[in-house]
Amino acid sequence: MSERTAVEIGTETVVATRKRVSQFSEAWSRMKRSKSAMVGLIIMIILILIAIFADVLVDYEVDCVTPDLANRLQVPSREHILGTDAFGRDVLARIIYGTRISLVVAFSSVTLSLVIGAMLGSIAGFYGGKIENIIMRITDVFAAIPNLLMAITIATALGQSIFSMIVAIGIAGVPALARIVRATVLTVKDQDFVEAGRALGGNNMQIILFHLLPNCIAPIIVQSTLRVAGAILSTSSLCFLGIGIKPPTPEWGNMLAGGRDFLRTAQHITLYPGLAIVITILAINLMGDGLRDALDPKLRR
Amino acid sequence: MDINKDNVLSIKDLVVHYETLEGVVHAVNGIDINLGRKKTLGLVGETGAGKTTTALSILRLVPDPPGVIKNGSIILDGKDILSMSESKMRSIRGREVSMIFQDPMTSLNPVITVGEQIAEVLRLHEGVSNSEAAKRAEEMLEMVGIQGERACEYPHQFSGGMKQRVVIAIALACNPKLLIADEPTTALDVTIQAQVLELMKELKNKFDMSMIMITHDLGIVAETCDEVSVIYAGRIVEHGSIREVFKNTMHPYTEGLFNSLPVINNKQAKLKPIPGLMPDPIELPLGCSFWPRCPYAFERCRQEQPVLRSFDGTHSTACHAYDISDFKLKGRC
Repeated sequence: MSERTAVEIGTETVVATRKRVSQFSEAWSRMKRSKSAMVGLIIMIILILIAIFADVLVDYEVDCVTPDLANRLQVPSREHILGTDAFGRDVLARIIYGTRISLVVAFSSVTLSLVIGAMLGSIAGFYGGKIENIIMRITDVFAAIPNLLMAITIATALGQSIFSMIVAIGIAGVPALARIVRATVLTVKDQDFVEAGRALGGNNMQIILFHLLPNCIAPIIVQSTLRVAGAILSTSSLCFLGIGIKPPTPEWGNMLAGGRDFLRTAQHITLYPGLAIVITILAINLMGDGLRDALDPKLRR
Repeated sequence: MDINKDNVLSIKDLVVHYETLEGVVHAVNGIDINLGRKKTLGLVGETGAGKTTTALSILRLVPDPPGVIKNGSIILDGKDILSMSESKMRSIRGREVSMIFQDPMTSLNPVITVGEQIAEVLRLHEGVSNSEAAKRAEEMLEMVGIQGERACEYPHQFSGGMKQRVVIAIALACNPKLLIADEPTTALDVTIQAQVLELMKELKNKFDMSMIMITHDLGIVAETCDEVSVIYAGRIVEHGSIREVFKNTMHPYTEGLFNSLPVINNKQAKLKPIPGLMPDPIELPLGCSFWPRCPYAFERCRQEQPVLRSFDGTHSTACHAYDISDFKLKGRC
């Protein structure tokens, strides 16, 4: 602090060393203080690593998709740590591979809804009037349709593939993000620096990109993190309902659906994929809560 | 008024209205401004007198709706501002005219580094590369007395005075011909005010700029300006050089402004504020807008709008009382 005051008083004062603190390193140091957020973050990093190195960890052809009817419905043992399913495929291997699909679908769909939502929201908030009314009423209509129903419709229309899942879940998430971005833009757009930006010759596009969107980053990050959890759940739900990714591709929802018939005799088939979903969503939510606290300037001490 | 070719800015008979649901707000009612090169003009008046609206009209940034420029012409450096296309206008804002806003705390974007904010203007108007813009941004910071290394810091890491320096650096980055400073020091404390004003004066001379200084602080006017226009209810009531207006005050309103200042050598003296309030700009009184508060008002002031008449030299005022021979203000007390 003392070196800072030194500069503020005199302009000639030379300051030798200074710690540069950006908004994000500040937020990071606040987040580090929250244990639950760090637990969430660490689990997420582990899951991402598993997804990236799924090929190294398991042999897709042998462990995940090829039926081995001699070893069906095995309880967990040394050979199959989490047992085998109704077709004799290794549950652990399938969960590991499922991580990849869940995370890819979740992150891509959230990115998709983020891009579309941020664009629509910032345009609606910035221009106001008729444009805002049209955009927001359309998103209202979309928001009125239950997310899952919406995703089912799109997935049915586009056919069963990872891509159609991404589109389905991504579009279902647009209204929420558009609203949040619009709300933030509304609070920011009347501030002096936007007016100053105009006085310096910026056009509308430049003001939206340079002045408005950077100010929306905190709520956008938080909302997208929380939406990733929702997207994973939606992926699993769609697959469970049989309109997601086609079996035998290992996906957590598919695995749950496949184990449903054996709930009384071989619980491990449904238990472990279910646990994987729970842990992942819990981790993301913990991380999202921590991020929200870290990025909220009102909670700064 | 003569249209001098040497003028950076000439405004003629500018009328700006805000058309709101409650009625038409007469913010600016026929203002003339002529500003020569390298000159500084002070615009003095109470809150709501129309100073900021006048300034925003020069940049054509009067919020529309509800603001409408009803009448008048604004010629900036030989170019007619009011008939210009919007894209042409954008290339003038920040490049030929810059504006410094009142509150440095809110006129900087809180989530972008100050260096980046200076560089942005350079990229916009001069199309320089990122690295070149960053280098020039650091130079601009050095020029306003901030170390170049601080370019990568965020506005919240600067104090109020330092932020206003950054704002000045942004405004001057493209070397404008005219700088409009809208109460640039109102939000700062007195010691910092002095530093910032000194810096502005110095840079104004260095860059050969003209400046419009909007303020309600007569001290600042005396310190920085060559000429001063006193604005009341959207009209100029007195105009002249600093010496003329300060030594030989003519308009009763200007006199009232001077009398509202505390006098340092007489601590017993009570402040003499001008009684009453500015008239509602939706319903301006007939005649002179100042008559309800004017100690010299007589019948004619209620009926007839006085026009700006020039007296000796560049000094002019809008007051009926000078038709009465031997009229003199009571003087300052």
